Amino acid sequence: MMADWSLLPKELLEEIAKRLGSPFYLLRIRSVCSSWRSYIPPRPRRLPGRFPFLTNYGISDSTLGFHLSKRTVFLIALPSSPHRWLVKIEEDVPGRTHLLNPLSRFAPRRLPESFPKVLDLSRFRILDLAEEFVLHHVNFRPLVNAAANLYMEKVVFMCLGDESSDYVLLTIHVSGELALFKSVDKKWSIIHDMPSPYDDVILFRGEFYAVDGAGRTVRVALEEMSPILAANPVYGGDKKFLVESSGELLVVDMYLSTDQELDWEEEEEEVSQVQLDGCIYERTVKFKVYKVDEGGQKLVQMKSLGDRVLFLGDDCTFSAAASELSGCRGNCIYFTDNFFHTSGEEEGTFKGREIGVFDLDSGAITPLSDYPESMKLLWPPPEWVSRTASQMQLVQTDFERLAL
Amino acid sequence: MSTEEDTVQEKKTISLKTSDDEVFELEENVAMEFGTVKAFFGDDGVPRDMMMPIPNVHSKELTRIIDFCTKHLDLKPKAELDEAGKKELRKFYKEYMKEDTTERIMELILAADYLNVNDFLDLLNQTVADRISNKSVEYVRKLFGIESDYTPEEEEALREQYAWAFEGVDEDPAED
Repeated sequence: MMADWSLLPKELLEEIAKRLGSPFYLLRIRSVCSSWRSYIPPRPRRLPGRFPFLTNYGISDSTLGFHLSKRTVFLIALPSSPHRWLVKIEEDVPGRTHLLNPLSRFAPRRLPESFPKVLDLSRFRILDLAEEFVLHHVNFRPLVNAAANLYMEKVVFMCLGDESSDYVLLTIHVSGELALFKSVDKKWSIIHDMPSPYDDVILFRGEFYAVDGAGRTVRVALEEMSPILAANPVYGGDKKFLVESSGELLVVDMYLSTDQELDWEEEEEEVSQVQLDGCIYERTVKFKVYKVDEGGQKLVQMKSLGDRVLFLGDDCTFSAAASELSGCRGNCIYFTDNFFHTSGEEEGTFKGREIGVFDLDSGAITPLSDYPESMKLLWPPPEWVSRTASQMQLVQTDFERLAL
Repeated sequence: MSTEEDTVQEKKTISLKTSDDEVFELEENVAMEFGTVKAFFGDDGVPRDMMMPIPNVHSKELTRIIDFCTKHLDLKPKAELDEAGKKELRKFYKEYMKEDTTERIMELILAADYLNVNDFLDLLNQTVADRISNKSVEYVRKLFGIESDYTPEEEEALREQYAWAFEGVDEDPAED
């Protein structure tokens, strides 16, 4: 008996649509045919196009307030090909899109002349990898190349239910303590519990988690506004990150070195560049990865990530299977390295901090630019994305013939 | 599983008769996971030894639904106790529908909907959503065997909804 999906009652179709992770996918399902389009209501924009001006009541005296912006990391794939492109997009005003560097908030991108002004995405597979939220101080205009965007800590956002427009934000206050903003109360509250300053926050399985510099991981209970221990500290390295991979919560521990005595004869220029900026840039020397064992309240070290690749960005972390990303090796961590700097003159690189790759097998750290195949994933915008419309038609019928 | 027992003693079972005339005897706690059954027998009124007909459900689907409910009833209280239990329940949800074709899922959705088995229906709906999430519109159409009834103009209008319109070639994300 061949199942006839057209028999599916509209209420069930709505239920399925409700469970789609991203409004992007909702758009697609509504495009399948006209009856589906009429059955499935578009998801109302949960929040205004521009995030509301947030007061700084309770959090900081030095600013007029914040505004929150949202960016999304997408993996664009050309069906039935190994072609992939990882991008970060901000749509601050509906219809106006900005393309950003997926891992860093700073390096601006210049799109090549040949890049289309309007990108038709209907023929691509789009995977929604991560959402990030950034708080901007209102009384300053962020400088393009400034090393310090004024509010630099990670922010995570939780919407309270499908129907509600209420939300909660969690971030790390300048003091190192956690700060919560509830839209209902319209104010920030500081959580006074901080054996060590906090390093990172994340939304995992619908709950807020945070990790401090020692690796102590907590789950933040919203009602009581208090942290609940999820894992005891491990101490270890210098900076901790929280990232989700294969449904598990991981803590990544970054080890830095302030070792100034570098034997880089060929790289002398680069070394002086680092010093000229007036700061001591620390070199990342290694990473350790732990799985959060909430039941056992401990971090368990992972020797291998298998096929997974972890991405540690300034404002968000995410992961993907190496098999999903063409040309990338698994068991690696991609991160922005303060130490590797480029002038951006060479083609195919970002200006500013470079992306480093840590290989868990060998323990080696290399700039991503050493792996042109993997670099292609990020920049420059690939040619297959920019193909002209006429070529596009041809490609479309090929796919139809392949019955994909 | 398929018996026609005539029990006189106080056995806590419920009998259901499917569309293909098979009679199933279920333990009461499993049967009460079916909202429709629960409503049928109510708190009082209809005696429990009465056989309930479920003409919209085939034995094939019912077997599977019973299987889910039995396993789920076992795992749910454990999940409330500790992390290990929670982990097991998550694993169960993750693996349970892995082998099923989309067709099969459709059949199960209709049956679970009719019987009002909410937990199973949630899982089924989520499974479908997951399967169509990262796919192109064409793929979804083929998966469900649906023909597009849009005119080329309508398709074009839809395409515009997808498009990302960039602010010009010189992108400066610092600009508000």
